[in-house]
Amino acid sequence: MYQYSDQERQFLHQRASQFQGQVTRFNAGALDSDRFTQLRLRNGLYEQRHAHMLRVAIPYGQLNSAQLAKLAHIARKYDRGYGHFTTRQNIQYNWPKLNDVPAILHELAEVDMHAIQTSGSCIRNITSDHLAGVSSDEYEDPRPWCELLRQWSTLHPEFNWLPRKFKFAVTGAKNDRAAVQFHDIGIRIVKNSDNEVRFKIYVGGGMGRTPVIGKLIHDDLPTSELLSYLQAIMRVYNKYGRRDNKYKARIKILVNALGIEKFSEKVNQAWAASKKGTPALTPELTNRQINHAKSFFTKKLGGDRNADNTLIPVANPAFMNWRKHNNTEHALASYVVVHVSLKAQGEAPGDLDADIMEQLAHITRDYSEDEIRVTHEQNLVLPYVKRSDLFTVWHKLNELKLATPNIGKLTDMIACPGLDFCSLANAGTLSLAKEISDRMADFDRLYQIGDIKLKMSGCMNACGHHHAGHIGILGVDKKGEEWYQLTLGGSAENDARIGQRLGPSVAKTALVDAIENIIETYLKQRQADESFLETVIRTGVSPFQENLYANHKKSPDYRQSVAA
Amino acid sequence: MQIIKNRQIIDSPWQLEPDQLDSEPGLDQPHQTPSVEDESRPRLVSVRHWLELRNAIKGRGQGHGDHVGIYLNADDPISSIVKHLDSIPVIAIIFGSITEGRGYSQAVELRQQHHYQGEIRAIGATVDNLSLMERCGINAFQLTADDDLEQALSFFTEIDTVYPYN
Repeated sequence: MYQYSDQERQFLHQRASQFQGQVTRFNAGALDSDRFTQLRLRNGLYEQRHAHMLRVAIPYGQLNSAQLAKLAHIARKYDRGYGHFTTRQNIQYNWPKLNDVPAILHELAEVDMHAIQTSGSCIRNITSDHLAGVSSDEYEDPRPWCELLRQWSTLHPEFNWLPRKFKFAVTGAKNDRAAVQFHDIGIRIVKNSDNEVRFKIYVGGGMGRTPVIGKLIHDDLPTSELLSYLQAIMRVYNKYGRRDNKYKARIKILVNALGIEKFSEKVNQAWAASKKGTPALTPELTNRQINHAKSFFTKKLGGDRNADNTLIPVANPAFMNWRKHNNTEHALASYVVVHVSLKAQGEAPGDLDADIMEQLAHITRDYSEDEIRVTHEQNLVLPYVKRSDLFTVWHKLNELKLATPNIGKLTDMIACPGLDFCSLANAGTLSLAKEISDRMADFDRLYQIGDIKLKMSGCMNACGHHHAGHIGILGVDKKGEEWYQLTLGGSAENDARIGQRLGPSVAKTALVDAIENIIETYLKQRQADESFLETVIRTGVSPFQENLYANHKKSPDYRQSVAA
Repeated sequence: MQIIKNRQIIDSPWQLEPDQLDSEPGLDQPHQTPSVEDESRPRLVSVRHWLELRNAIKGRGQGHGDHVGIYLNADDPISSIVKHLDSIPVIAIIFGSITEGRGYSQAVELRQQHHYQGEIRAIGATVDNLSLMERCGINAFQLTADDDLEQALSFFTEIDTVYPYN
């Protein structure tokens, strides 16, 4: 993992003290509310429906046990004893008090963590593949590059006041697990024919109210040019992105308005112009800098990697089932990647109790080489579990209700906090998530349905990534009532696709039945071992529409939704 | 008027003369038409007026540079002034609010890409952004009315560590 220098630690404490000063001035009436809003947002602090919400950055989703234990401590001491892991690999606290936040930031600084730029119109936390460095389909470990991007973007003087928020995602694997084409800038690290590392840069992807798939703007960027090229994109966006309408302010709108060719031309002009500049502002990455970043991510594994290569045979069906569904093969034969499901029946997706978090920190320290990851699907991953420890780890996770064998299945759904917490939301998500997980609790049925991604957002800001869900659910407000728009066939992987709308929205009381109906249609339509997504792509949405609305049309809910 | 320049509080004689063609002049002041006769009074005029004045004066074989600076609105490109940079003593950048970010790129382009040596002044700077602005090459700051100049000086050194790549 990346290790902070003393200077960097000092920087985090200075930043926390700076925020303390801003809070003090605000409380004393010396800082007006509009300006303070902007300053608190750059420290991850929102005002929500009931209280403030603090979003803490987890760079590229990676934590050590001390950091996880600190997050648990903060949840207990300053919040209501739990935290919520987000689709951007961060953690949110829903109940901190404004005057406690500077102290929380100082506590985070003790373990090299912060909340800098987790909100506001600036470059946000860099997200990545949760299997970075441990998957066998990887060209290059993305984490050193993410770390370089994190350092570059932290308090970047030119890009702290962009037209709108700006999200990066990076993957170095053949299979995209970071949804790079749904980000403002997505980076795929590849190797060219000379086995040299190159970057493919995608720009202008995103979800929100205008979902767009990112467009390829550079397909062969050399490593030394990474920051200078990104700087050129950011400069073009900073100068020309719309600032008159927040709904038209993301880079995707600018890219679409100009067209990718014209946009690319402007970027190339800005890039060439920056080459005339002083070296400090045309950051060319040297091999020394790159190798320094890489040195933090070369795992020094304890013991003999090959000594305990065999799995202890266990005649325990529950364990074997978990092994099948919640484990991924590791690039090293003696290790296994263990997925920690935060989707136990009845739990809000992504929520984790502080005491369980603390226990999990111990497991991380003792059984996963002191590393744990947050996934963009709101689960956790223990990336370095020895085969010989698997049964012990399963047993410990099971006791903590973290071994629900549903990874990638229907109940492993994504949901934003929704109307229960978020002031933007139109509709609730958490009660529905619970209803769906209760209805779909039969594991035989879950496995029969197979791999499927259900993603739910409480409003069109799409924090729950519904556009990219195989089944997407979007909460809408109709005259003060909660209704839900269904989409089918979205995907955030290599075949990035935006889900297609099924038809009129569905009342809250009818939603779980509607999902059952969609599943029934799939099971009827599927050929051989086709996945849900494959079936939807082959048949299109019509059979699903016909079946869903044939029943639904008879119901008063449907007539009401069409009338509305 | 008191401003901060090179981290010191100084009296500045420069007056902003908003152009009547500006849709958003940035500061509420009466529109004025620049006059060649009035060239001893230090003033900041629009790019358009600066170029007009320059043409008017050129025939008389004397420079007007010492007393006439330029102000840039957030959406003004710098392309029309880059070849005159040596004869512009002050370039002011108008920041309409704390969220206005375009001026940072204008400053970087002037300072780092075109090696402008004169004063770059942020008009409408807020104390909490002084350090970011300074790192972009802005060296003079005309603060919004709410901000205290003495206190502002301490804000430059709140954070003294930054990453090398930005």
